[in-house]
Amino acid sequence: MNETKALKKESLALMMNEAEGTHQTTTADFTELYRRNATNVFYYLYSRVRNVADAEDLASQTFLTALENLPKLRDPLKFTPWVFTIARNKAFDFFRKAQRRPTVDFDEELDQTQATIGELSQANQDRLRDLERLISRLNPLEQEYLRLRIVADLPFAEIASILSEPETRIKKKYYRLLERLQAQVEK
Amino acid sequence: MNDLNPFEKEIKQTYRLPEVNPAYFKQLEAKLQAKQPHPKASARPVFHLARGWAYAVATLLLIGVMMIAIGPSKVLAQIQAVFGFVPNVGLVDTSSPFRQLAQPASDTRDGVTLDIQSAFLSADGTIITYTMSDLPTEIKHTRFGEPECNLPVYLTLPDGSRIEAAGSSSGNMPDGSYANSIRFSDPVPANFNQATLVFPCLEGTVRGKGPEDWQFALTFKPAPENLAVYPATLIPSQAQIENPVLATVEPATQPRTETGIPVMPAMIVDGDRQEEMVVLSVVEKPDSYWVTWAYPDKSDDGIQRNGYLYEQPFNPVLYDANGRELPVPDHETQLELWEYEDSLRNQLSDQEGLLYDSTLHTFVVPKSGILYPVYARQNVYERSFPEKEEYVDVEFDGSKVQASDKPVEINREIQIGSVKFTLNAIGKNQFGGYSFLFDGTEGNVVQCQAGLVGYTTNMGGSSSFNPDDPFHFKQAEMYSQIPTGMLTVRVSQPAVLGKMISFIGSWSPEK
Repeated sequence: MNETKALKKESLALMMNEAEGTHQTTTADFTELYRRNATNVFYYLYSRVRNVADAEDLASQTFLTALENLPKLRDPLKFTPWVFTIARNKAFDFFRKAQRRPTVDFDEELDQTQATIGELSQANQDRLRDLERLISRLNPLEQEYLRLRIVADLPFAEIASILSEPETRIKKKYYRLLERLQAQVEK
Repeated sequence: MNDLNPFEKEIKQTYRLPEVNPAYFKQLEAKLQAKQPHPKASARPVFHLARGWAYAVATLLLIGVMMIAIGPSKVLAQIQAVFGFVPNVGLVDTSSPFRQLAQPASDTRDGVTLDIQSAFLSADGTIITYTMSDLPTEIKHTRFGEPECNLPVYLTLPDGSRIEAAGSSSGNMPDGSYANSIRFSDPVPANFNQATLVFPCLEGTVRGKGPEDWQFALTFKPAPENLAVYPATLIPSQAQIENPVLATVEPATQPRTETGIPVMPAMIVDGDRQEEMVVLSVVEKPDSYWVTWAYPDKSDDGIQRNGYLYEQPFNPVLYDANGRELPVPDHETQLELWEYEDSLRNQLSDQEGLLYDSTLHTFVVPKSGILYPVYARQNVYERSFPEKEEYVDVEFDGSKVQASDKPVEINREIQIGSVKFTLNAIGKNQFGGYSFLFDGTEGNVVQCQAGLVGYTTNMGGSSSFNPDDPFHFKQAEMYSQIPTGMLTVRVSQPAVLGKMISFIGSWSPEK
């Protein structure tokens, strides 16, 4: 419900810019768009690099790149998928440059999980650990679906735009993925 | 924000997202502002104020237009359809009158203020919207290792029964405030106009800190009679409804083949085979119908990775009876359609959900300017897994692959039962592992399983289906410690691309 309203607001603002004779996203809008997207971009990058300092650094790079390239954005309604595409590229560069892997070492991750969910019941701890294991074994694209939908909180249309796949296909894969994960974790 | 179901929330927990650091975001915002060219002082002097008023005016206009367009015949008391679409609420059961909150409720505890702003009650559920003030730092969940409040909100009724929340969402409201919505799947019985909303603890707080067992006494009253409700029809096989009044699906006068599949204008039939797509629902808007089609999904659970039996690289298309392709909706309408589809999913039974959840698609069908019936088409490719148990092992030198900047050529023919394809090359991948490059041209193979024997992968991947070159595909496996030396890759479960199927359906409004 509210996702729609928020997006409507963004769309309306940008359409009004057009009515005022401004045909591209203006720098005045940029601050508002930054505020709207900053947290989700940060969370998305954190889910990739699993380190706050690196995620903040990459988020800074993402928005600076977006600002520099703002005049190239032809359709201001596509700001969100555009900025997430930049964020994804920054994350790829990060791993490529440092020859890092996108997931932390499995044993380390388990230790970290233990600390995080230590207060949960044993059954819940086991279930979350199982879920983490299952997610870590998904292929990169499936992991990306989860990050973009659940962590970055994007609607399917924008995920489709980022991944250049038909929206219906993304939805189909996403819901099947959830179904499969749920079945596996409840085995 | 996306309305996450409990399982998605569990998945979110696994990412262990940290608390954001407001100072960082403020610093970055300042840095970005410093880098921005200053806008001309006179360009938009009262931008925010003007836009705020514009929102208000736009909202009022929208409400006015809706009221005029819908007219008194569609007001709540006269709605005969069992389902209706209420903007910002979704698809709801209209078999009993809607109710709403008689008056907002508000309370402050431990430095937190909750305002229960609105409620919408229908025969099939309840949505309650509230706002919450900023949480004081001392009760806010900020550190890993601290237990977070994750107990669902619930309603208690005068007879002592309890209704638990089925989901929640949050985000900005049109006035800029931040609000939360809680969805309850079970209805509040019509004979109860009171309920107590209970927050066992507050989302975002540390368990054991902050308000607990916070109760709000709510009173409900009938919703206004002029509430905008668009009549909606779910086809009988998908929902338990009576007397659908709005539209008929597949009217008897429509030309049909012997198989029951609608006859489409010849110019838009392009699949090797046609199958029927069903209409799940129809909503009547002032100038258009929202018609949702779906086809039954299939997958093979015996396949380790991606057992889908349909490959769907195409977008669905809508044509009128002249074979003219109808335009896709604008951005605003598309957002409304997704919102609507989410509420439609809530109305599907578990069995229907499995069949149609991922394939349903809603088109906007104009009421005028087109020739009925309209035809929806979704092209897909069939996939099959003729050899699920057999496999072929191929040895290769992992050290050589890891030392090479280019994939090492293998050119080994793979024959698994009747299916033939080729392992062209093996390369190292950037995530720490091996990429296996296949050519499936000979056997129409578009996917297979490939993994190192004796090693456990921590991540795997495959190339996306490329409709322009579907038979060259890649399978990758990543490892915490990259195995080297002489290795064996086991190749199995090839997916064979079949014919293109056109799922088609037609629809026209009741005469």
